[in-house]
Amino acid sequence: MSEQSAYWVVTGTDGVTRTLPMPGPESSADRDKVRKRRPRWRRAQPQDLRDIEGPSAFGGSPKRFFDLLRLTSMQQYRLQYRTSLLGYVWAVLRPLSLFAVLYFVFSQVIRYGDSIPNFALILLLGIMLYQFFADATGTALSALVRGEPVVRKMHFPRIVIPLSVVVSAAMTAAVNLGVTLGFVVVFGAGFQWTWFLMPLLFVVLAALTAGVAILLSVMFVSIRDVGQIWNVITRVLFYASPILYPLERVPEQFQSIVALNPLAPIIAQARIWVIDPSAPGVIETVGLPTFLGSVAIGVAICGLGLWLFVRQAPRVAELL
Amino acid sequence: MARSRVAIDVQGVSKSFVLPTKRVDTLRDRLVAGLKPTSEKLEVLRDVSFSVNRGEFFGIAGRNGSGKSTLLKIIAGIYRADKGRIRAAGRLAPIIELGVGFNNELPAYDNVIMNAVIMGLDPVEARQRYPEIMEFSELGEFEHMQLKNYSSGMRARLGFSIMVHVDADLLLFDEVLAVGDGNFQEKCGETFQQLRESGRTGILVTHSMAALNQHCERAMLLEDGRVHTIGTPDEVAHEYAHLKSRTLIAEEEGEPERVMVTGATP
Repeated sequence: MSEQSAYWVVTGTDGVTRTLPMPGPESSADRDKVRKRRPRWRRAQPQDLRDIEGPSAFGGSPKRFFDLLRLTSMQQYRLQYRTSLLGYVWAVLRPLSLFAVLYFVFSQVIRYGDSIPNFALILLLGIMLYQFFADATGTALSALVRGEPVVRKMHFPRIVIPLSVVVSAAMTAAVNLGVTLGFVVVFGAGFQWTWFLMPLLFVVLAALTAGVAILLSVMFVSIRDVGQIWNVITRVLFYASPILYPLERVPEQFQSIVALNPLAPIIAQARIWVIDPSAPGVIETVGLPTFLGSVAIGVAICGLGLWLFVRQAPRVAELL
Repeated sequence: MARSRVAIDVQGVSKSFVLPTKRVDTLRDRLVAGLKPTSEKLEVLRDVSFSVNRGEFFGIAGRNGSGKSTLLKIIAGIYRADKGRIRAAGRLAPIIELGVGFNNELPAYDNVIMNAVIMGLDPVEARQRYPEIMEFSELGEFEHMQLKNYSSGMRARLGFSIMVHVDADLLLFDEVLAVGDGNFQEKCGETFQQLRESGRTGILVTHSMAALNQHCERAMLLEDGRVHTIGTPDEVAHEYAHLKSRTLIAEEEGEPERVMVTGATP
């Protein structure tokens, strides 16, 4: 055996510190030993010729698509807070700190919040839902560009890349919603049976987020300005959504403009189901045409995103 | 349908890239550039046809820019051909670069599973094969280490080990032999031998005539996107040498060699 003079001291991901020999030049005895370890390969079976399809958004079988989506999402979820000291706590702390500042300003400095029942809870719930949308779309925006090696050198269903960002953000958001429900119980109206309807609303929000995410990610490949533009739009959307105010407080002439933002009905409905079932309904407040218009805009964005992504997917590897 | 003796069949494949003469990435660039054409078409492959028999290792040689890597990526389903038809019998594993898609923050286990699934294994199969993969890569003692602490040679070994364990019937290699130390290359060579013995089919893109001779039954020489020669490795090596010497003479006579420029202009 060759003598080991160099060592690595390494702390593994399991938290155990080991001293490992640096791989040095192997002796011929080592090589012989290695040579004996032949892998057991099955014999290749003759198969029929099939057409090779080029790259596509979904690529290959549905099973492979879902396997990869699950694996990539889990990997991202685990990686997100891995390197930071407080880890997952940051996922809750970030929206909570935004909430704290806004709550202080609007209820202590400006004293506007006093006039709105459950102002704190409406603000908190709105921030949590909005943060999911903003985080997921903002990260998905550059996902294809960041995933360049995988896109250009491996056979990988392209749409998994932005979708996994949304799925991993949704997992964070689900926990945050749980925390929000805790606050609702402690400070507000307590448990409502309509809480059980929230998953439905959450799925709608996730679908909208996914639609925007795939649209942005594929646009960003050829127009980098989308990053700056989206930055502005997300900021506008924060104030244009019923987060700092309930929908019925908006002056009537602006109400339909606010409600056309597809996020608005979702956040407004969440307030009704989570905090206050007696609050005026979304359709009652803004009228059915506006509500349907908002839904149509949301569906159109998702459709456009999917259409553009599927169309561009075969060429993404070349455009990067 | 009778089982075909052919494993990979490429018929009349053409591909051109639209290369920007000036990169237009932002709206400002687009406004400044106006409607002037900012790109030109570059034909990379023109009517390429060949087929690889089952159990055969087939080499593709050619000079830089001859289109061999593009051809491999089209067969692998990473680029889409403009024209032509490609058929394959069985599962393909493109091995363009070892260790693509590895995540530096994660240890070997997560990376192995992820990569194996991308290469076409079931997650369950991937987990079953993990011990084999680690044993073959000889990196067992480093398995809890994050990949950022791996040397590039270790990454290549891990990547190679995954690739040969995903049970693909058809393997596409792009210059992977050029990485790693002598020991690793020796092992690659042995593995190729074993893969051939187990009835697998391979395409090997390479510059190295020695590798062609050692691993391939037949080979093809690409020149300027066209099939120049298909024959034994010796014939291809001969033509390749001939081609290179002709270019040298042409250069001395002042004919500039075409240079492909990609990426952003300053």
